[in-house]
Amino acid sequence: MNVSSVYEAVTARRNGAAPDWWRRLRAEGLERFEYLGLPTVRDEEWKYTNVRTIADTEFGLCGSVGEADLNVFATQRTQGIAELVFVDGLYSAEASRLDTLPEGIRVDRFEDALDRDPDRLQACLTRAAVSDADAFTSLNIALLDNGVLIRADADATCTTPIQLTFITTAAAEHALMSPRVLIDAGINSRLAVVESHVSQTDASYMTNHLTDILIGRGGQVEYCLLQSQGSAAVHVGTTRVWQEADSRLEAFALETGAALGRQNLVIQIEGAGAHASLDGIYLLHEGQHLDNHTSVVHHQPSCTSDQLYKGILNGASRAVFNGKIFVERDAQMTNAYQLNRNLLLHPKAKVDTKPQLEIYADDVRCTHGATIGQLDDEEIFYLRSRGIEETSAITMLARGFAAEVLGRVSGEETVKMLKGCLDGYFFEYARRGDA
Amino acid sequence: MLQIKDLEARVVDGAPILKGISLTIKAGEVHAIMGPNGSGKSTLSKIVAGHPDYEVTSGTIEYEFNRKPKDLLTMAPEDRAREGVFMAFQYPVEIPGVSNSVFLRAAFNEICRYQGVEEMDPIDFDTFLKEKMKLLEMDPAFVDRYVNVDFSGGEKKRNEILQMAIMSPRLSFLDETDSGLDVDSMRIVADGVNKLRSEHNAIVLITHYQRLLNYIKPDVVHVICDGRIVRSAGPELALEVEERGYDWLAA
Repeated sequence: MNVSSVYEAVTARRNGAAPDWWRRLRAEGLERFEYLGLPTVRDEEWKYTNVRTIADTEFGLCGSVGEADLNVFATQRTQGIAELVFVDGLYSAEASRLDTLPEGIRVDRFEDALDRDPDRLQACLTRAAVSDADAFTSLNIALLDNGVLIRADADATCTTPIQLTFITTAAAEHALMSPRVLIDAGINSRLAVVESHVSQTDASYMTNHLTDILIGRGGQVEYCLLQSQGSAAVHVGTTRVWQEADSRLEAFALETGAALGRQNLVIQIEGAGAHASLDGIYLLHEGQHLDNHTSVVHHQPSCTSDQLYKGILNGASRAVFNGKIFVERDAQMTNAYQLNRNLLLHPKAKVDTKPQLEIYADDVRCTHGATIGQLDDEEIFYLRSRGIEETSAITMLARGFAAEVLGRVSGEETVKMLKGCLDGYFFEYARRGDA
Repeated sequence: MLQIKDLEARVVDGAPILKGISLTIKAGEVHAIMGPNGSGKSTLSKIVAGHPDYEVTSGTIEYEFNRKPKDLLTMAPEDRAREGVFMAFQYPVEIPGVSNSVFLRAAFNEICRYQGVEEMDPIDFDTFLKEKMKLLEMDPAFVDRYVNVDFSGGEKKRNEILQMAIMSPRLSFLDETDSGLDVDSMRIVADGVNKLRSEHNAIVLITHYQRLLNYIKPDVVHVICDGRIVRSAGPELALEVEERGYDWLAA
């Protein structure tokens, strides 16, 4: 992959219309990426996920934008209060709806934010030092172009989700999309955001998204990420969260698409009394490789984090889970829980799971665990003995396995969408048989 | 309705358990099968239901429905159920994440589909289900609970008979449905079974105790010892077993 040519193409597309700090930020990103290079399996963080295919592919900017049909994705989006749609990396004004936001809630594309509130945009975009960024994060920063800034003023509330939809069409063959999302939830505000990455093509392309979530004191954010990329896609994504005192995060990820997927979630709990829940479901078919790395850093006392990730694997597929909990010296009275459970529906499915704890405080409660198992034959027989055909029995049991995680999602619209995605997975499971 | 001939069976690749069972059951009959632990009572019902852990090494099981005899042993477990063969489990299986109502409606509709009858929509099914639950004095809250999860022993057994009521099978094997039940639960379960009894269906009670047979009167009582039926007689045989044990029959 020749990153500098993509970098130049992004610069050319903007035609110089960006402030100095924006250009500097991108240059720093490029420098950082070139210094780091793409990770290899010798890198501990990438031990089980080989990204050589990215290095070997000539990804470029998408030359033209395809026709997107939103109806195709009815089950992969929420009926949100507003929806921003990006097609092949570019904003689609005609597919988007933005008119009915409650007071104190603002949704701006970066173009508009640069006009209206450049200081805030700059503050959000530079919240984390580029020098701390990993390779894909710095790559996203280097290619910074399109994006969305969602803001809630102090005390503003919007519990119906704001829907962000990133669609890839056949026009994006060999293209690299770098979506950027900023969620800035002010003091005591409440926001719900659903970020859907969907595809209507089996062509090869790559998405590398970066989402930053800032939650002010007492704020609450429900954030749901849906990764339903095309069958030949590479999807890398990072969501970073910073939480202030007494804030609350409910993060949920459902990952079911892409040939190769890697999702990072990094949560910094920087104020006392905050809570983070991070839950996820990954659903794999033959040939897929999906990797989840999560990290919760407890910096301050009296905070809780609660994590449940479950995976269902069919065919020769592979999932990786790595979940870290750090409890820093000052983070006394931390209560952290983490569980990763995997259900293998096929003898060739494989999971590498590694829960990790690093505790530097002495008065904490942390539990973690991981399981990998198959369905119980006795359960399958029980259902069959009630007239339920074997594939339906397996589907019913696997749904039951996933139900516990879904039960932790509070948004009604979001639950509906997630159920629809599970339906899609099991429909495909039944169609393929157990192969 | 059911004709078992010289049935020999074992756990897959294990030692023989059934060593030549022959048994004929007609519509309208209630049979009781008694016998000591490990005699093969439960194995027999699991083989009729099609449990994959067991293999039949010789003999036949013929099941007749509408005068059409079928070789039960060649049928998948789900097809046996759809044809009207039911087993109430000795140890009902817990299924986390699947609610009782979803499970029962799926089972009911599978049978409807198989028999070419229109499926029931969720609302009608709910009414139908609540009616059947009254039969077993079950709390309506059970419809939303996960199948058998955190059910007491008695609740699990009632749930088995509820499934029987929903599926209205022609031939039911109740595998130690009375074990672990207190007197009140036993009466409720037995009343439920009696209400489901008719001249069109047959019931096989597998039990250790004569007590259940006070509530559900059998036509025939069989005693199985070491994989063989050693005695078949009227209800008085159960009383005799209660009094004298099995040793005199095994000899």
